[in-house]
Amino acid sequence: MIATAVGCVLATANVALAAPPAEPLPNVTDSPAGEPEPPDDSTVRDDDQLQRAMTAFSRGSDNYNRAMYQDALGDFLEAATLYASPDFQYNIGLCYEKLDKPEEAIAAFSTYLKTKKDVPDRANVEDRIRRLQAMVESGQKPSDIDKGTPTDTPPPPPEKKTGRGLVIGGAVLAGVGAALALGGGLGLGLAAKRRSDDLDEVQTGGNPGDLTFGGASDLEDEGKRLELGQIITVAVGGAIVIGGVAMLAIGLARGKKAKAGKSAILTPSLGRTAIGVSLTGRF
Amino acid sequence: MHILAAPALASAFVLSLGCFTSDLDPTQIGVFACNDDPGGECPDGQSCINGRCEGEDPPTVAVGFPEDEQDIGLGDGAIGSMRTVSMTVTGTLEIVPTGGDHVFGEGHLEISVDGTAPIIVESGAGVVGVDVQVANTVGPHRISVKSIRNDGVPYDHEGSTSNRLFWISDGMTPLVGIKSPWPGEEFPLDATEIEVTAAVTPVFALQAANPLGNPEILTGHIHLYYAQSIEMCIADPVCDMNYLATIVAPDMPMGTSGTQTVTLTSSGAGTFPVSVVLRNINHSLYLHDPDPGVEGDEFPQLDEVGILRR
Repeated sequence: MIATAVGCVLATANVALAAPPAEPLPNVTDSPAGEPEPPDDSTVRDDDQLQRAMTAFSRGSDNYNRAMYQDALGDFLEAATLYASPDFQYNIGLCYEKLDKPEEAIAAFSTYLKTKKDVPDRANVEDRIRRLQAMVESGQKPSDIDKGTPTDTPPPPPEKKTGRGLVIGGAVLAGVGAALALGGGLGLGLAAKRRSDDLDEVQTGGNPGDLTFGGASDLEDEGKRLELGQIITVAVGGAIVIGGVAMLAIGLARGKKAKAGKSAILTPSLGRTAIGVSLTGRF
Repeated sequence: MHILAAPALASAFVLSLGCFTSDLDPTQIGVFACNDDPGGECPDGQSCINGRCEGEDPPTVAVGFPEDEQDIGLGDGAIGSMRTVSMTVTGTLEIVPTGGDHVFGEGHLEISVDGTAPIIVESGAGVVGVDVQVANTVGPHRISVKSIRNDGVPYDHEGSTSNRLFWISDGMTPLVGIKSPWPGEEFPLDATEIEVTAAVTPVFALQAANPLGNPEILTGHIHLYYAQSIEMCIADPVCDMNYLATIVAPDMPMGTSGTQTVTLTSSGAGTFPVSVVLRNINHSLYLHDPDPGVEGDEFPQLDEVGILRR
């Protein structure tokens, strides 16, 4: 039961991730009840009402995640009042179930089955209703069942990708890139600067070392080679850092998604002179 | 948040900490060192002078008077006394007083006559006239003019020194003098070839030797010796016959110089004489007889310069 509920809420939470808040209806793809009904254009209220419904729905999801089922129930009921979506009824049923109100849960699940078209997991929901009815008859509460071994609950959703590997890999890569850019760049750059200083001393400092023009040319060539090496090293190191940061950002975004369902959009960018990624979203 | 900013700023920071900012300017004068080693050459358009690459127009000096191999004749003074010769020097050296900082093209003159202590000339432009004291003796005489930098270092490029061999002659006595090498010229210790140029006064003709020929008046050739005291050597038949080379100028007018290249043997460091002696065409010693009516007044004609081996 818990798994079912969590799976549902997570699934509905995914809606917020997958769709912008202004989307008209949640898309409960992992719901035990199956694919939800697409929004019927005729039922679409004005945007303000829809927005309020979505806000209540989102708030209900958060409260459900925090095990504040009574509050979540209120939120889902408010959402259902504002917008007639069968999916709200399903979540209302889940909340009643959590609140040990099997009769009300049965009513909500039944409403869900009646009003939703083409429920792909209708058998599961019906089975859930039957199980709740059996509990009513035997005087048990859903919470008692939760302590037992659920046998008829849908399989838990696949484990969300937390992005931990990306975070670690990205951090390591960024560190390696930074070390390469800083170490190599600084080392080669300072070596190039020494050559530059030496050449300045030859040309403006009286050439105390009696360097020949050939020697000065060699010094210049060497300095330019070092400078090129510095630029390449910094560029490669910087590219590695960017790659690492990108991985890190993706990993963090996935982690946040998995944890709180927040949205994040990572957009790679490629220009004539630079490459990188832009991370936008709500943190 | 645009995370390009951080790497870009870091890259700029790293690149700003150390980079190559110099531009080699091959047109700079007096900056680069130079030598004879590979890679020691100067940029195009510059000359290696005193170990530095300088401009294309280094300062020059040249003796104007007396002219090369000019016979200024015996003076009015007694033979052997000192006489004043008004010599002239020309060139592009900007003559300034001594003791300043080195400025390429500036300097002073050091004029030495027959190896005497040099006269310092610190002013003058164009044709500079200088009175020098010369011993009024029949024979070859030498004037050396050197251009010296303000810091006392002699310029070492070609044209920075002018040497002049001239004669003081009675008009009858054939004279021989070494024009090259110049006294004090340096050569390495190991065996080395040198070019010896000897001049004779216009009354003498340098002809090819003929061991079977008879001596002719004012005709003959030059024997060249090295590291021998010439007056003692010509008195010693063994030494006399061990000359290094002969110098001739066949089929040339009287007074024509002759040049011969000889190899100097390895030696220790020091000053060694290079000597020339006039010979008859059959190699016998040429003895000038100023007064054929007087017996025993004949004397040889010779010249000697010391070169430095080190």
